[in-house]
Amino acid sequence: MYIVIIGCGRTGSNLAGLLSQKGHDVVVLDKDTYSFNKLPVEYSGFKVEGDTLEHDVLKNAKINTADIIVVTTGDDRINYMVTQMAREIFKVPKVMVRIVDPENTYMFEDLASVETFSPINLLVDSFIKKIERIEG
Amino acid sequence: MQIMLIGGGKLIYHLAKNLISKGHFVIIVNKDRNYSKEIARKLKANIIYGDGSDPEILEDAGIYKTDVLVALTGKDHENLFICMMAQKYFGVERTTALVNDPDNEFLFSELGVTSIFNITDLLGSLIEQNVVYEDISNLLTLEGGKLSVTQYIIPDDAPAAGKTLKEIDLPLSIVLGGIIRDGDIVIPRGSTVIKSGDKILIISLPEEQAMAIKILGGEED
Repeated sequence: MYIVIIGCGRTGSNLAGLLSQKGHDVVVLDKDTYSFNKLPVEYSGFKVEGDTLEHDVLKNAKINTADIIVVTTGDDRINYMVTQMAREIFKVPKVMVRIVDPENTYMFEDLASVETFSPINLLVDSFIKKIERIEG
Repeated sequence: MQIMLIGGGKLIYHLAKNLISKGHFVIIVNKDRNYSKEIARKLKANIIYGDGSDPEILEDAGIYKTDVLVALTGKDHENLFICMMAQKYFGVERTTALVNDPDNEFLFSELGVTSIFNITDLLGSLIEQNVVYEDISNLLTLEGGKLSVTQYIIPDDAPAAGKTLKEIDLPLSIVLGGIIRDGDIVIPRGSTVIKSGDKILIISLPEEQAMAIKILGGEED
């Protein structure tokens, strides 16, 4: 599958490395070349440097042909705009997006083809599960 | 009307001043403490210090009673997020956003932002035309730049000088609204002869303006 990853921070770089090892075509996009240093040595995909919110940068990453895009920047507002660009302009069939502040989840609700992941909610859920197991 | 402005700078200050003088109730949300303090002293408006993309701040600022929200920050992703949040979460009926990157205009209108000001394109085309052609002045644009009214002074060596309008092959989509000749107004008809020194009012689509001027004045583009 052709997967475009927006943001090459800890989440993005890790994910890019693993997906690339599994044999997917991966392109990772970040505004800072320096952040590509985080990619593991096994990463064999492309790196695109540029402002994620610029149409030409997204076109450069061939986002219009992507099967999935994963949006992982640390700013919900940027993630929202990239998500909408991917849906409305580049018609990407599947958008997966990381949400920093769980309160912002409602902004992504009822958007077809968009799936949200909030690290805080995941963490809280697993804490609760562990605690309930101890209780029981 | 209750109007909420988000952002800072001279634009917000002067806009707020005008709106207040027209009797509107204005709220400004800004995330710079010093700027907020400064305009709080100068304006009779509610100034809220905080991040405009935070729903709690907007609620404190009184978004539920707001008729129009105007997002004027320098960052498109903030403006989009704020407008969509206001519409989706708080049910604000009218939202207005500044678009800094012209490529984003389509996305903003597609997502339902009520009015969009594409500041870079508007300013850029105004400045460009003033720099490149000194005989041209843009008088106004309508509907956010979809129709432009331009004044053009016919130069001495213009190909159109001495011809009647009928002889000049002007596309039907370009309309001449009037000719100012020695201070008098001439209403253009097919038989009107164009003279050098005439000030001509051109009403056209912005993209056809250059063509109109080329036909009338022969300027290279």
